[in-house]
Amino acid sequence: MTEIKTILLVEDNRQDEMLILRALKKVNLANQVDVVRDGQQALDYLLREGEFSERGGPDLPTVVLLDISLPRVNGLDVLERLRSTPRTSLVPVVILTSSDEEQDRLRSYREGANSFVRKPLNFADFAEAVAKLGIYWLAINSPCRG
Amino acid sequence: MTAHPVPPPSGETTAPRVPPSNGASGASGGTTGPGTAVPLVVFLRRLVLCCILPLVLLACWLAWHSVADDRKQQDQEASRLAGLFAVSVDQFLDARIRALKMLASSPSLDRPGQWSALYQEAHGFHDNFGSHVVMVEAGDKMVMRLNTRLPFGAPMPLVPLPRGRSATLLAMASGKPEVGDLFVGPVAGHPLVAIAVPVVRRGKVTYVMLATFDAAAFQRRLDQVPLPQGWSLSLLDSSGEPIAQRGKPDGTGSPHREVVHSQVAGWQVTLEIPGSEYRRPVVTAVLTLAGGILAATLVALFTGAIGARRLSIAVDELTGAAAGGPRIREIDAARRKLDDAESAQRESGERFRSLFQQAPLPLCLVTADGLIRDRNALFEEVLGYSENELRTVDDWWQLAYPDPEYRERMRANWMAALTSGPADPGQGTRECRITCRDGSERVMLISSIVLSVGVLVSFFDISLQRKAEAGQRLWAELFEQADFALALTDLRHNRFIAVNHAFAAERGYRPEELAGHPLMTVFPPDRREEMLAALAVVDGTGHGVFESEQIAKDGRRFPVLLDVTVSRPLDDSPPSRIVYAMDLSERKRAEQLTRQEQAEERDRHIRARLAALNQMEDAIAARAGAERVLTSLRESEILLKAMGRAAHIGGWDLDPATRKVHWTEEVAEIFDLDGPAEPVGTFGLAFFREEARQKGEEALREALTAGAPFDLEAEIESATGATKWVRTICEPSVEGGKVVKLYGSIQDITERKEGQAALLRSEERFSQAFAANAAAIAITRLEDGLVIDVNDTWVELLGYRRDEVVGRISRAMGMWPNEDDPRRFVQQLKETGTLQGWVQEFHNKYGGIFTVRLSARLLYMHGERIVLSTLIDITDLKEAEREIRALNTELERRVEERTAELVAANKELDSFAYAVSHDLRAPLRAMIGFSQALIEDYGKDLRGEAGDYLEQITLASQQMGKLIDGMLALSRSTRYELRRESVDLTTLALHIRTNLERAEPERKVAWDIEEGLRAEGDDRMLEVVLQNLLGNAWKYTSRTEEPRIRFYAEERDGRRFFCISDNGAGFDMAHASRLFQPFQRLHRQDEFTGIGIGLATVQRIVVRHGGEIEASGEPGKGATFRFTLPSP
Repeated sequence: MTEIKTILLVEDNRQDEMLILRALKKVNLANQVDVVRDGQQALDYLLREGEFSERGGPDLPTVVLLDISLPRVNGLDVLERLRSTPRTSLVPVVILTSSDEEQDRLRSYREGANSFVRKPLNFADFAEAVAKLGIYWLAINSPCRG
Repeated sequence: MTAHPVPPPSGETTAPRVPPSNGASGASGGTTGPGTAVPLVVFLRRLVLCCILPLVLLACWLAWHSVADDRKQQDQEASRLAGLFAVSVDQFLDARIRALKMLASSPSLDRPGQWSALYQEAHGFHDNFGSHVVMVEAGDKMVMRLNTRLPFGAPMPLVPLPRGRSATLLAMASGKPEVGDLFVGPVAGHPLVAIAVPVVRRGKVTYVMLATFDAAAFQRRLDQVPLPQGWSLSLLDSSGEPIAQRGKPDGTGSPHREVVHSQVAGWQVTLEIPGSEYRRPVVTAVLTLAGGILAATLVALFTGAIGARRLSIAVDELTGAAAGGPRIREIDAARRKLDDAESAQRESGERFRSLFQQAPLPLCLVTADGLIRDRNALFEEVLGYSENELRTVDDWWQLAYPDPEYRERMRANWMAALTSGPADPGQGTRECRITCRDGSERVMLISSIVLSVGVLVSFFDISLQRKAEAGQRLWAELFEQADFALALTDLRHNRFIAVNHAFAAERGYRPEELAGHPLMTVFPPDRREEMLAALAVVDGTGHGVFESEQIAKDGRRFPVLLDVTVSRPLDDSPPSRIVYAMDLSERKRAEQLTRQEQAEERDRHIRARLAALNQMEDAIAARAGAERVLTSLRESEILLKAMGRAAHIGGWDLDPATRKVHWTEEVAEIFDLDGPAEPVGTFGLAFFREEARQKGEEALREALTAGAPFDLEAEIESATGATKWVRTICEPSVEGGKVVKLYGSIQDITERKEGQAALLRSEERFSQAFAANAAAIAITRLEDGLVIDVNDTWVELLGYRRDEVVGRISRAMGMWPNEDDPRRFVQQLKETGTLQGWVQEFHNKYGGIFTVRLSARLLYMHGERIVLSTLIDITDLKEAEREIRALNTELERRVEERTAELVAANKELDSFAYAVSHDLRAPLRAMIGFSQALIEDYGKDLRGEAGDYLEQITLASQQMGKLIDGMLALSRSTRYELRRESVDLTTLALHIRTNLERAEPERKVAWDIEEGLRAEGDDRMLEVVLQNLLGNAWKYTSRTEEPRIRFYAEERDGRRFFCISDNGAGFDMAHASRLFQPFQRLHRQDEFTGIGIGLATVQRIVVRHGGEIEASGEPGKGATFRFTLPSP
């Protein structure tokens, strides 16, 4: 049986979302992406709460692409919540952000992010980075089955 | 003579006290009790014994060990020999038993018809073993059936039985082969031994085969055994009869015996070592050892004793008890020192003794315990007390002062003089009335000087002087009050020595106007010559009367009759004239009187003259006596000084006439001169320090001209350069108004002086510190708080006058506001002796309160506990402190406020920068992203310049991205917390170089990066600095041929500059000020791209690190950036 692999993209910026989805589509991963637009939604999605309490699909995404500056709940707070909840403590989280601040990087890793990727300004670089990320997490990396 | 305490027996005072010896005390045995010393010889002998004893013990042990070893070897050898022989005997017997067994089993034995064949077999046995065979029929009779000794069939004797075990009987009884004891063969006729083997048929012994051997066979075997000298080896049968024997066992002593029993027969092999032989090694060893130890001990004791004796002689020699000991270097040195000290002592002692004996005064020496140890001949002569009568000072008090009250007073004086310590010569002199042996009472001047050996007491009889003084007083009175004119003149200078009142009055003078003046003053000039001639005649004859004319002060002339008598004292004192002058003008008037009257008048005159003459003569004698007394007193003082010299005080004298100076040795010693040197500068003036020398010279002049004594203390520099203090006392000896000799003493007083100086200095320091101290100081007594002294500051602080406080009790003055405080103060001082920085309030005189910091110390002075307390007024300080505290609080509040504001502002800036970083980049990314997407997805549909435009959008967006990054870096350079660590700049630079080269591999730049550049700072920020500066250099050399970039350090004005220089485009120094401003560029974008934020960032980082940055350059030539950083 082939397991269904999904990516959860948490991104409030529509343009970035479009560009990310475009990049993923180029490597044929776009149909496996769920998008939420703020931190609260991300938590609800992952913990099957609120509007997502009835959601179908696999229990947890294969990887979460998480922006930091998010409305309602900040990306780093989302990460902290995930890591402190046993069920989601092992879900791979990649921080995908515009920030180049040392303190963000530090805190991300400290909270247990699996990767920290800065969104490059140049589109080509950006597209390539996203594509690589998708391939890596969905095809190459073998996840831990809790 | 009054009874006096019995003097102690002479033995006790003269014989040396012998400490009780060990032997005498007996009970203490060999232990050396405290105070009893072991003689050196005994000590050294014990030492030698102690050294030998362990060696002897070791030797004994070794000898014992060796003997035991020898004996064990001998025992082993003995048992081996005996064992070997026993085995060989056993083998011998065993072989024969086997052969006999063969014979016994012969079938021919069972048939008597075939016994001849058996006989033959038996002969075979004989041939093989050399022993005969006998067959005996078993039974009670033991009939012999066959015997190879006899021919077959011959009649046989009965089998003989040995004394001991019989082999035949045993074999018959046991049915087994047996070996018997020695017996004498009935056929052979010599000692044999037998082996019996029973012949058993159907379980019964029928016959016994018997083989006999000569005992000699065993003897031969025995002889072959190698046996050490003196040992004996025997083979004994069971009854102890010797079968074979070698060496006679020694019956004497207790031999050592080794016994081995035969396994086959009941025999035994016995090896004996005679007792004497066996004990020989032990004896030898013991004898050798004893001899060796004895010899070694004797030699050691002998040499030890000799050494000890020699050493003890040598040491004894040190104490003078023996002579002629060996020469030991250390002892020689010690002896030389002792000798030197002794001879010095002896010399000094001799000098003292001769002075003592030859002194023209009675002298005695009293020891510290009150014994009169020595007295000179004059002592007994003058005072009359013999040595036996006068032994101790106590005797002296009893005898010389019979009056108890006077005695006690004198005794008290004496004790006081003794305890006052070494007095100067001449000091401690007092006048005493002493009762002599003959009962006469004399007035004596008693002087005592304290020497190291005791007190030297001199007696000077001044009874005569007293009498003379009395006579002189009497004479003076008579002379003065006589109603006739008398004058006393000297002979040499014709001056009046004295005139009486009448003489002076008649001539209109006062007596003192004439005394000392020329005699001719009273003669008119025209009569003087005639007068001198007349006097010269009288001086020769001794007496003369003549008339002359004299002149009064007012010029009145009058005739006189002069009666002149020359008085020559018996001693050497100068002669004088006694002049009696009679005014003849009165006589002229009297010529008119009656004859009788004239006769009476003359008688009266003559009587008066006689009386006057007598009186004069008495007076002159008295005067001479007085002078004599004075002279000897002077001598006595000089003598006492000499005594002082003997007591290690240097002495010097100077003869003014010859200017000759004489020194005693001590003087040379004081000036550190070698040996008896020639005197230098009277009393060593040459060694005196400048100021002292001037004083000394002046004093010497005074002494020589006016006879003034002096007592000087001076600092000198001795011949070896040492600084010392000396005291010199000079007593001029004056005779007839002339200084005839200067006698002086000189003494080294450095020690006393230094002590004094230190005391003086410390006192001076203290009093200065006390008086002029900025702190208020009070000295009080701990016991009651009595104020001993306060300083000016204290007076000022408390408002009291000094005389209001000193001598009063501080507690009673109401200074302490709280009664408990002084109690606590005293308590603390008593416990710890000191007290520091108490803050204490005090009332001043007017009731005002002030605060002081109080410190105090407890001192001991003259047996009293004294408190030295220091008060520092901190009233103002406290006020100020309070204000400062208030200000500080305010300041702190403000700082907190400002900090909070700053923190808020920083936070704001942080979130702004954060927002910039995030939110400005997102739209740019979108612009670039969608432009690219457009080109990628619809590029082929775009026409004309649409593609270029999209390209420009991308470029502009990217430029803006860079600007944002630059701004972020700039803000980060001030926002981030600075870490400080040692940073390796060289490695950083090399890393940046690699990155730059990788980005543009086609460029060739000559790099020169100095090794080992390090600085203290934040590595992230310093990387930004180097990144920017090296990046700039890289960028601005892109159009240069042979580009070169250097990174190095240089020292300037003592500071270390890190420099990055290139030979690129450079810049105009006129614009240098804009270099470090953000967004300012000195080059056009088309020349060199950039955003103008790098150097601003660099400057901020360098400044944050506490450094400086400067730039220099020239267009087309290149630029150099220099910055400083804290060095690691």
